Parts: sequence; structure tokens; C-alpha cells
Amino acid sequence: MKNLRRAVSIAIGIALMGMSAATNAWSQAFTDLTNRFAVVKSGLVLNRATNTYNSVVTLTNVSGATIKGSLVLLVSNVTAGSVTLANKSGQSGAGMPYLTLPIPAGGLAPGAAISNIVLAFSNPTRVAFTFTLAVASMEGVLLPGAGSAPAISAISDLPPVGVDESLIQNGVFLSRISVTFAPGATVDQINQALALVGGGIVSSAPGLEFVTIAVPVQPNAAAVETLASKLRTAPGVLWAFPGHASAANQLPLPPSSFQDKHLLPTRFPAAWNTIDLARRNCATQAKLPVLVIDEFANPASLPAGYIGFDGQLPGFHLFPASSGFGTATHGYNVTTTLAALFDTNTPTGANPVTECLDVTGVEIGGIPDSDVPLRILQSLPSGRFIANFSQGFLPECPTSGSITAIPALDRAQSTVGWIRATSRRWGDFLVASSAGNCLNDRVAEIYPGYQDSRYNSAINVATLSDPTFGFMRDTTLWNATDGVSPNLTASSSDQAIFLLNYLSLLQPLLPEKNVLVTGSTRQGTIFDDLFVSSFSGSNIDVNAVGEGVLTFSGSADGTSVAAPQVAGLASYLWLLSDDLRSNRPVTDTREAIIENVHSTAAGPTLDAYATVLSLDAPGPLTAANAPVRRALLDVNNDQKFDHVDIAVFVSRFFDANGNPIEPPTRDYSRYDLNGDGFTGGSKTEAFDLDRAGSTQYGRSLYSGITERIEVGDVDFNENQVTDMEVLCYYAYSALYQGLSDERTDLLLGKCTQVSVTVTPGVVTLTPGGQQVFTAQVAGAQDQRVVWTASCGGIDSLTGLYTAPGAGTTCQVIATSVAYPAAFGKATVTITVPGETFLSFLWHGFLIGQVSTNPPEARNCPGQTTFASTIVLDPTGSTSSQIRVKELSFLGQPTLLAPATDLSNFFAQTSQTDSDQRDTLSIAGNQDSMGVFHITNGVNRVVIGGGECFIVFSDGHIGRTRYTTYANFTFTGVGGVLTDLQ
Amino acid sequence: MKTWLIPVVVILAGARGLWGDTLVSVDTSGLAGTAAQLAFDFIDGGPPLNTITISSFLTDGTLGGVFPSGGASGTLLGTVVLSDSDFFNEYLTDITLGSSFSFVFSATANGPDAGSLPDAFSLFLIDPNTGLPLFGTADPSGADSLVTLNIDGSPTGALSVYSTSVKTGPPPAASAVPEPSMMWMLGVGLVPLLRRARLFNAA
Repeated sequence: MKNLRRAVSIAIGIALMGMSAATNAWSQAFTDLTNRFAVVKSGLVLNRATNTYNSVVTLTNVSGATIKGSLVLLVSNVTAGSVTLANKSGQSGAGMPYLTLPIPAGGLAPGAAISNIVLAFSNPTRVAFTFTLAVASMEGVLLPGAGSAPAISAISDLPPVGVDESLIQNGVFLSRISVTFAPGATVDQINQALALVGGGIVSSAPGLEFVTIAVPVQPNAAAVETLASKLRTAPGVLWAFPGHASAANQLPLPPSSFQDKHLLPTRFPAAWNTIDLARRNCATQAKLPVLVIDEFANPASLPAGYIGFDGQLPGFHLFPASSGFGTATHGYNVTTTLAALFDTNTPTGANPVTECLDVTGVEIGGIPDSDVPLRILQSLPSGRFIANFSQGFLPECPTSGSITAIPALDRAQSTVGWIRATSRRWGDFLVASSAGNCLNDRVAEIYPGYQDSRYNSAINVATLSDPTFGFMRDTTLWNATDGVSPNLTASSSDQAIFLLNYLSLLQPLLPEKNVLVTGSTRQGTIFDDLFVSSFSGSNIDVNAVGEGVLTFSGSADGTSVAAPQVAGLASYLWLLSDDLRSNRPVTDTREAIIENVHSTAAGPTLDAYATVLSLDAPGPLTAANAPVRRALLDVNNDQKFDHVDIAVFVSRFFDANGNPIEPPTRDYSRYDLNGDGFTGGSKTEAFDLDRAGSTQYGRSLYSGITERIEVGDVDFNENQVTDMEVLCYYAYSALYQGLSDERTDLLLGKCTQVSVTVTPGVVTLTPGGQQVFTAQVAGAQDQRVVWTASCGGIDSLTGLYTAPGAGTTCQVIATSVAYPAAFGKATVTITVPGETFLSFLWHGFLIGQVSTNPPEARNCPGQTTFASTIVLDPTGSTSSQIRVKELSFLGQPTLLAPATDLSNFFAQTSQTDSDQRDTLSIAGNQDSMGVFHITNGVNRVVIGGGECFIVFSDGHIGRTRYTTYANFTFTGVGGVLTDLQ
Repeated sequence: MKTWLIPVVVILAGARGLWGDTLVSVDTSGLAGTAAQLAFDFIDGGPPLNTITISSFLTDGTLGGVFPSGGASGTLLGTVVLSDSDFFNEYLTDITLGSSFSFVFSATANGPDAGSLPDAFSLFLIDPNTGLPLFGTADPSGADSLVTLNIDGSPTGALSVYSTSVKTGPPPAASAVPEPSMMWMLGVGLVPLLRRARLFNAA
């Protein structure tokens, strides 16, 4: 049969009608583009392999514009019922088979052709047939179900699908429109509205009246707006806006040589001193899900500089898995700012415990902002999680060129989308959101609303407490000040319609309280250095340093890199506290951060350390309810705070002579207890010692407190404490689980602010001679002291001292009665007439083996033998009265059999033993010339009975060698010591 | 394995309605002695009607049984006519290939009506055991034809050659030149035929 065929347009018309009919399955939405193409079909050739009759089709773009998007070749009107298209890609709702067409990257230019499109027909009865071809764009679906059914009931889950970068022009998607169904809209109304613009739904979520539709690719933003306007007039459509891209809140800046300095002033290093607790907790917990909602290139498209990304964030993955938006690195930069290892490489994340995190990059590149809530909704993990959103409404602070500013009503509508999509999960996550970077930008001059972080994104808008979203009618925010640009203020009727539809939704939900809107400060070293960044939006919840933040591609500026520090801290808090993560409302986490900010010139600024410290319960503190402080003090990570830890801290705060070390620079070490960046020294910082009056996960109260240390009370001002004061306070608190005597020895004279001075400090007496000592107790009203002496006799009340009968050196000690930890000393040298002193320095090795089990057994006995000669005055009489009078050990141990990277982590008490060995007799003989020869290999000095602390921060205790200098003082009677060999 | 060859498209001049002769030569020296089938397919694309005429078949191979179908008539020893009276029209013959074969074909040139496909003539060399082409060609339809003619309404149609083994061109000139009186007679005879062709084209 050779019949005339219908025209292509008629066929497509019928096809579209068919798609509008009720159906039980999703129907694809097509837009006829046949008139833009010249279609050439070859005759049929029998393919014997497939037993099909094949025609080869060539399509040539005869329009004047590049054709983009997803195209299909529809086959219709096949005149023989037994003939079918054997190689169809799919079938329309009306039963039309189609082939998807390969479109070149960037689209099909005018005059360009798609060749060799094979149509393979099955024709088992070999009957004559003809058919009709049509070219159409195909994206999205129509609503299924009965035409009179509510449209909202026909919505199901359609994950957002990204578009190519080339389809986004100045932030506007050329093929996407965000559509909101009107209340009561029917399936037919929506499908007919879609037919008006050749659209199809490409993303939706059950129960949500917000969908994104695909439309034929438009040549520019104005054309998309025209289609959106057309939709807004259609029954069943409440709102329709062109799809907008999100603006990454990051400013491009040249690379900097700084090494993660942005984390220093907000005290992240001090917060990380509790990292052992975080690691220990995560060993028994599931990894903490963290979502970074941003633009991510496919990993294969990342620049070479990002090769280390996987190493910094093991297990990082994208959602959807196969996504990737061009060469976008913004999401990766945000991610490493949030979490990356604290190692020798940059960048370092706010949370360095990446092995405990399950970080997902939620791809929003290539999808309009109206799709973002849906994409997030579909990516949400079960249970609780932390999220970061460093994006905002367009524009991205353009310095020149046209501005695509988002109308206030569009912002409100996007916010409703966010609320509808996520409000059911607000209790499960905390999200850090960027404040925006347009404060001093051209767009903010035209539209003052752009200065305010609260309108920077849908998430931020949701934090407003006004359920009427009155901001949309505020002409001072949205009317253009240049008199040229279009006003963005919503009309009163728009607002009325908006409230009619959404007020009941918004009223019980607003404000959203799981959001931390984050602004940016400049760089600095301490809080006082921090000033607000010139670009950072106003009305923020908290600031973080957002300038000079290192990424794999250099230095980055913007609130985009400030927000992930907040998210990173929140995730770190959850690793530290399972109670906060699992039991407490997520708003508690927000409160912990907000209530512990530091007030700077930039406003409330993140204080990571204070926030971490707020995780402990309010006082009185115990080892059980103050895990963070215990972890902080448990420097050797043996899960208790004891004298070993004290010894380690003391070794860092005092030199070998027991004098306090005043550090010249900040080293942000593990031993920085007060969080000022210095190790030890006199610098002070606020520290909530007792937690009394403080709120767990909330505000910390800093006040003046008193604690009993030994037998006396010591005052602490929590607004100004040194590292040593922190140590002293907790050494005498319930957190301490070590030996009392050891504590006393280690902290003797170090924890009190009371000092005792003995006068005279040095005196020489003959045997039996007397001296009255006096004492002054500084810092205390009570001047009473108790007198003691190491040798000789002293009246404990009056200080009258009587020297012993033999030559020696004694110490007189005056101990404060009110503050027994405070004492003063005087040295008394008792000289025997004719006795001469000679000192020399001997040095040798003491070999010690430290017991490894239990680790508290810290005895490190060692011994040495020595030999020398002492030349006495040959005219004098010498005898075995020569003796070692004083022996002390100086210097530091060196590692003999080091484990890796332990060299900086050992500590030793520098033991001075001045009196215990003074009775040691020296074996030797005096020759006729008066030279006293000390016998080689016999004389022995034994080190033992005391303690040497060799404790490594990782708990390792090993064999060590000490290079020890022994300082001997010999005395001889009846002669003069003239030489030493 | 399928072997794709560079296609050569030859547009031949010829008379509308009664298209000129085309010589097709196929080098089968590499397949000499192979049992094969020659398939001359003519598939209807819709109205109007067209006809293919095959003549002057020469080979040093050996022809075998013939299996015509649809509107196929005649024999290669003389003339084969393929009309598109049916959808699928084929002259299929067994052949033991020699070093080559050749034939001359002509076609009417009635382009397809609106909505129709061009009528298409195609040549295949078939493996009789599998019923599939003996070797792959550059045929974009995937059918592995050696030659395809689409009667597309252009003055000459579109002849596409998909194998380097195939050569096409005009047939050798006739050795006898008609006498003037005979030329006149031929011209008289062609007049109504040419008018008919114009009428068809105008339709």
C-alpha cells in the first residue's frame, strides 16, 4: 500500500496529545524541534544479521542557532502494524518509539549534521510500510495518573540531574525552570502547563509541590524568563522561576605561603590536644557522616595539584557517585578546609581526624538551586550528620558585566523548598552555611539586601524568625538604588499569595535552629588581630578566618572557606562527645559553639578550644564527667591523669634547674594547656577550670576560685591563668588519679603564688657555730614559718641554727604555715680549719633500663665507675677524709634505641642529689708526693632509688642512654687541693 | 572478523525516468573458488514504482541455482528485472566465485513521494552456509552491502560503494554505431517516453 502520510507536525501534535492522556506510567515530555532540521532518509537495506530493514538518517541543523540538550528521533505513523522499530532507545507514553541522538559537546551548530542514524525495522511479513520522523527534545516526564487527581499525589522520587556547564549562562540554567504547584492543582493542569512550554519534570520528591522542569534549551536568560512567565499564567502553577545556579562563596586570590594559619587564632591547635579522645571514641562508633554540599568536578577532571586529596580524606565519595561538574574545585577546597589530616602536608582541616569521618560531596553543580533541597534530601544519611553549605544565591559578586540578581520572592520560594524538603530532618543535622561575599560589592550597592547574610541562601533565610518573610517587601533591601536595574522587591499581591499558601507551613517551623551562618575575618595570630573581612556578609552567627585559607590549589578567600571550619569543629565535637552526637538536640551543638565565641572586632568569632572545653559537665569535676579535660591532661594517653603526666608537663614548663621557662614564641604544642599558643610561661588566657556555674554544651563561666593545694588555699582567676596554673588546679582536683607524694615532689613550690625568702641566704659557719635565720612570706598575710635543717640543728620556731661538728654543707628551710607548698632555703657551709674545697666536673655515661610493665615503674637505675687523681698540697696531711661532698646530674637524656618520631616527646626530671652521697668514701692511696690516686674501677656511683621520668607521649617506654654530667666536690683536710687530672 | 572498507560514493549521470547504464565490477580474486550467493535486492520505499534492470553479467566463476522472490524476473544469462511490486524483491543466485564478476544495471529514477523512502537497490555477496555477508563493508546501515543505489529523485540517484573490491563506471562504448536513419527512428520512439517522464516528475 502506498498511502499519503500525515505531515510531521500533525504527527507530533497527536503524539503530544497522547502524552497528555491519563496513563499509569511516567510519560516522557517531548518538544518538537523538527522544523529546525533537514531530515534525509535512505532507502531500506536488508540486514541479514538482524533480519531488519535498515534506513540511514541524516539530520542537519537548518536553524540559525546551536541546538543543545537531549534530542530524540521519534518514529511514528508506521503504516504496517507488523512493522516495529527494532533498535529503539525508548518509547513515549503514546507508544512512539524513539532513538536518542548523539549531540556533540557544546551542541549542534547551525549547518552541522548528525549522520548515520540507523533505523532498524523488524518486518517479519515483508510488507510495505512507511513512517514519519520527528526530532524532539526529550527531558523530563509528565505527571502520571488520572487527569483530575491532585498533582501533588502524582509526584514521586526523581533525583535531580545535572546539566552541562554550557547550558548555564550567567548563572541561569537555559533549560530549567523551577515550578511550584498551586494548591489543588490537578495532574491535567500541570501536564497542560508543561505542554505550554514543552517542559517535563526532571526532579521532584514525594509530597513536595516543588519540581524542576526541563524545557527546550533557550538562547538566553530572557527567553527562559519568558517561558517562566508563561508558566505562571497557567492554571495549577503557583510560581515559576528560571533555574539559577548557586554562587560559590569564595573569592579568588593568589596563592600564599602561609601554612594553615587560619586555624591558629581561633585556637584549633589547642582544641586538637584532645585528639586522643576523639580517636578513642571513634574506634567504637560508626564513622560520622559529613555532607559537603557543593560543586565537585569528577575526580578524573581535577587539576594535578589535587592528587593528595584522597590521602587527606580516605573514603571521600561523591553523591551521586558518577557525578562531576566540569572542573569545579570549589567543593574540594571546602572539604579540605572542613577535614584534612593534621600532618606535614597542607591543607589541614578544622577536623583533622578524617579517619573517623564519612565525608560525602553532594554534587549541586549542574543543577538549579531549586533542585538543591531535593538533591540534599536524597543524599541524607540515616541518623545524625554534619553538613556544610558554602553556596548562596547569585550573583557571585561580579565586578563587571551583567548582574543576575535573584528577586526576593524567588528567595522566599527557594526557602520554602528547602524547608519542605529538609525540615523533617532538622533535628538530625547541624549545617554551617556561608554568609556571602558581596558586602562591599557592586551588587550590594545596588541591592542592599545583598549585604545581609540572612538572605544569602535558602538555608540562611530559613533562620529568620518572621514567618511572613516580610523581608521580601522591604524596598530598602531590594529596590535598585541605581535607578536602572530592575527592582527585586516582591509585590504585595505576590506576598499575599505566598502567605496564603505558606504561612501555616512556616509559622510552626521558623526559625530553623540547626544553622550556623558563618562570616569571615581577616588573618591574625590572636583574637585581637581579627577584623571582619571586607566582603563578608553582615548579621552572622559566628566568624572564622576566611582569608588565606590553604587549599590544594593555593590560597582561598571567602565565607566559603570560613563555614567549613565551623562544620569541622562541630564534627570534631561530635567525635569527642557521643552524648552530644547521639543524645542531645543538635541545637546544643550550635549553642556550644555560639556561647563560647570570642568577641572580636569582627564580632562573635569561633573559639574552638573554649567550645571543646564546654563539653565537660558542670562542676564538680570528676574523671568520669570531664572526659575532655582529662584527655587534655592525659598527655601520655594512658587514660588517666597522674604524676607521669604532671612530670611531662613540668619538664616542659621548667628547665633542668627548676626555673620556669618563658617561651619567646607560640609553638601551639601539646603542652599548651591554657590555649594561648605558648608552652608554659607567664602568658595567661581564660580557662574554665572548675565548670561551676557553667553550662554543659553552653556558656562557660569564668570567675575567681580557690582550691586547696596541699594544706593551703590557692586563688585562681579563671579569666587569666597560665599553663602551670591549669596543671596545678587539676593536679589537686578529682581528675587526678596519680600518687600524692609524687605530685607533691613534682609540684613543690610550683603551684603556689606564695613565696618564702630566708635571710641570710648563704652563710659559712665553723662546726658548732650558730646563726639566726629570718623568713619573709610574700603573698600571704600569715608570716609564720616552720624551720627545718638538712643537717645540724635548728629551732623550728625561732630559726636559731647550730652547725654540725664536721665540715659539710647544710640547708636551712623555712616552710610557710599557711601555705606549706611555699618554702625558702638558705645554704650553710660548715668549714673545718685547714680544709680546702675543690670542685670538678666529671662526665660519663649512666646506662639505665626502664621497666616497661607496668609503665608507672619508672625507676631507671644505672651505675658508673670512675677514676681520677686529685693532687693535694704535698705539704699538707691527707687521708681518707677525702669524700664526695656533692653530686648532681645535669643535662638531658639522649635516645639510644629510638622508636620513630619520639625525639621531641621525652621528659626527664633533672635530679639533683646533693646530700645523699656525701658519706661516700673514695678508695685510693696517697703517694709520697701527696697525690691522692683514686682507684680505677672500684669507686662506684649508683643512681637509683630516685625516679627518672622517661615517658613518651605515645606511651612508649624504652631503653635509653643518659649522657650525664656528675659534678663532684671533694674536700681534703690538712692539705690543699691544687689540681685534678 | 568484520572488515570495514572506505566507502566511495559515485554520483552517476543518467536520464530521468530511464536512468543510464552503470557497470559494476567486483574483484573476487581473493575468494576464488568460494561457494557464495549473489543477492540483488530491491526494496520498496513507497510510491512511485521503480524498476532495476541487470544485464551483461560476466564472470569466470560458475553460476548455480537461482532463487528469485517478489518482483524479480529473468536470468543473469540474459536480463534480470527487479520491480518494486512487492516490498522485498530479490534475485538470489548461487555462484562459485572466480576472480571477478561484473554486470550492467539501469534504473528508473522516480523519486519518492512525500512520506515515502527512496526505493533502494543493493548488492550482497552472501555466505550460503550462514546466510550472512561474506565480509564486512563500510555500509553505514550495518547490512554490509557492497553497493547501494537510493532512487532519491535526483537525476542520477545516489549510488554508494562500500567495498574497495567494487568498481563502478559507465559500461564500455558499443562497438556498432547506429546508421542515421536508425537514429532518427530511435528518436521518434523516445519522444512519448520522455514526455511521460516529464509528466511523472511534474506530478
